[in-house]
Amino acid sequence: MILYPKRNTIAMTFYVLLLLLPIGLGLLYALGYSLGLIGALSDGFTADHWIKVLTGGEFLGALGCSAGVALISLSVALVLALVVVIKWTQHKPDQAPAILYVPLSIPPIIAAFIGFQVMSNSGLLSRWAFQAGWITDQAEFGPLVNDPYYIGVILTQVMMTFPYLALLFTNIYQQENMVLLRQLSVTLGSSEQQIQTKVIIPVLLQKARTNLILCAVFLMSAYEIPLLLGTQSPLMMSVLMGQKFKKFNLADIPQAYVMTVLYAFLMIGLIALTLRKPKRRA
Amino acid sequence: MGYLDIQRIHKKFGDKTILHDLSFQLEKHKTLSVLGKSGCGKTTLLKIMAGLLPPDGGDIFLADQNITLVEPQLRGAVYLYQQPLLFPHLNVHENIAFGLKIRHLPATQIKEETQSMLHELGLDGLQHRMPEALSGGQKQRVAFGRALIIKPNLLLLDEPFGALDIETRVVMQTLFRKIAAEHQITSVFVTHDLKEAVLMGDHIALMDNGQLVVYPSLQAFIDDERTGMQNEIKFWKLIK
Amino acid sequence: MRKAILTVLSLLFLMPIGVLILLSVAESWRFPMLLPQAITFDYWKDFFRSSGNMNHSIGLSLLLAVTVAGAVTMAGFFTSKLVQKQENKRFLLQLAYFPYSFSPVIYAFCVQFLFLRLGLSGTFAGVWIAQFLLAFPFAVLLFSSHWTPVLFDMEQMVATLGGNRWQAFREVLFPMSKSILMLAFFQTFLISWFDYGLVSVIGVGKIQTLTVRTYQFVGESNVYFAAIASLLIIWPPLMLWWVNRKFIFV
Repeated sequence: MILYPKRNTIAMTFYVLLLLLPIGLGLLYALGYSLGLIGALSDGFTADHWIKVLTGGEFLGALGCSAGVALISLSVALVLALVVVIKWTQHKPDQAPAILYVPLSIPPIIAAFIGFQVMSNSGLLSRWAFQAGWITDQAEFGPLVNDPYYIGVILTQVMMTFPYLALLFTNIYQQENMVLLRQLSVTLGSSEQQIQTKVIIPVLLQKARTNLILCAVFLMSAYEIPLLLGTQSPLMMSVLMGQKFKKFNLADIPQAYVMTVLYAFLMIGLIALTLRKPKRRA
Repeated sequence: MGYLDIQRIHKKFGDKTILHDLSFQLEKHKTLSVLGKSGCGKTTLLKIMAGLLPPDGGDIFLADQNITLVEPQLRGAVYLYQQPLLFPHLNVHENIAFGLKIRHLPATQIKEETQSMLHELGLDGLQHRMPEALSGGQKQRVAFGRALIIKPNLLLLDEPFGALDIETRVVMQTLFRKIAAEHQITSVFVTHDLKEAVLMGDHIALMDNGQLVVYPSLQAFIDDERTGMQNEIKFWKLIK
Repeated sequence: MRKAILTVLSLLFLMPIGVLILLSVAESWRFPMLLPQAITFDYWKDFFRSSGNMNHSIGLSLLLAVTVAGAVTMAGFFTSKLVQKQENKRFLLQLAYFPYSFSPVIYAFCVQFLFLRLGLSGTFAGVWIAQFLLAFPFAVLLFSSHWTPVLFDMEQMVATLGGNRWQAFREVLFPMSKSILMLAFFQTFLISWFDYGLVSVIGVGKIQTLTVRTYQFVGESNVYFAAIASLLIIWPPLMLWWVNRKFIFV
């Protein structure tokens, strides 16, 4: 159909504005507030809030904590998903087991609640341990929630992430005709282990690269799960920012905006790197 | 002025000129075969005639009407792709009847005309079949039926048999010639196959460097070295 | 091997739902019992009769999710189509990743001043708009693989057969797009239905969706009501999954 160039330009401009304007304005406001240019307690330009955040240790601690939790959660989920997919598709490459869709029906807030009911001192795991004779009192059951190592957070995030990855990998497995690649590898003399480590896993990881990085971004930015299952120190990023914004201590808000700007640009940078066209090797 | 009159059509994509002051005429009820290599602009020309692409310059006249800026749905010029592009959610009957349905014709008339077309195309008994259950040749017949049933002013065929095997191709070529004659169709038939260009058209043209050369006779077409006809004849004589 | 995988996964994923169900009907479930000592449905009755007006929360969550999903699906469908026709479509699609990649709560922190200034903070409209802004780029990306050259050719085919744009949509594009439209609706419904972070920040506690109420129950240590609210939140996607296993992510 003959398109109307003017109408298209207007529509695309509106599309770009819808995507970028709210967040752009928000980040500009955050920047202005963090530099003391706007806000109830603003006194003119100041870099004090930036210095406090960057040297205070709270922000960097939260960043490190978020990155660490996200990396561990993703790594464990990745391994589990690969094991499930490789074993499931070994002899018959049909669709993934339907049961994998069940965790996708559970939002983070409920996953956190369930996590607490299962992993707390009086939770299901503790009761099993008691019945099995491994503990004699619920206090003996090691802290898996609200613990300094974020074990509860990691386990809950793993439970939510690995089904998603397993479904993603099964999808890729079918789209990339991995059955044929498998057969080809066999005719070239590969063993099952070689097929898995040199063909299947590299292809799956390469094709899922963007999704995996987006997954890491989501895990780093998690809110509800660390809110309920995390500890007070160190906090994860979203929880720290939430505390700063919601505590109604006006003096905390400029720092909250510093963190927002820093974190937002970090995530944008990460996404931009992810979306870059991969360099072709000669 | 011919029934179809293309005047100095010009089209560029970026820095590349695809069609350069292209002009030709075609009488009513005749078929023009257009031979050309891949990427020479044949599809661009057809899409401009169909109104699916705007030209950068020039005019298109059909039955003495300037249709250059007329929307495609009002031109009466049906464009047939190399792939049949049957609507996958409609069966054979519904695909053929599509053009009549969107014109809000009475249901009985639609049914009658569709049945008649099915019979003419040798598709009796297949009316309830879905496209995925048809062979390549059958799909192309249904595509023809869908186009012909609305009695188009102009039929634009873009290598319609390119995806078919040789035998089916021959059958379809014969069918098209028969239908074109019976329905008095005016059409432009694009192909990169030499033999098909000779067989299908009342006139033959060669697309080269963004321009169209329409040959006054078959001999003129054979004599022009650019067509490759002479090489073809030499080849068959050599191996004989 | 497959049976073993299936057994382990089933235990792993159905157990949490079992815990929620048991919690919602456990009259007494003291440590170290593996199962409740007694069952009661009183919590369920109290839940719907409570002064906290749970029916309002359920209705609000449904209204929000259905309307946001409907609007986002249609907007995303047509926007994605237009984007695919642009020369710089790769860049335009990449832009869609940015808002989509902010987690809802961080997105909310970034835009909350805007909503405050516009008087949308603490309102249904504010939460609706915020969820739309977050879910819309997701829909654009979801539909981007749907708009293939073949689909555009079909649209053009309809034009040369004499059909206008509306007929092309109604007779061809819409029927051919039904399954992706349903998938997009389902996925964006879940984005809104499951949302806690965005609602809690933009809604400032005034918009009491099911997820907000669940968090309140957890904070009050009312595990029974929290379990019931959780089951109400997860049953629509579970039912839809059961009815049609095609509702997968893309």
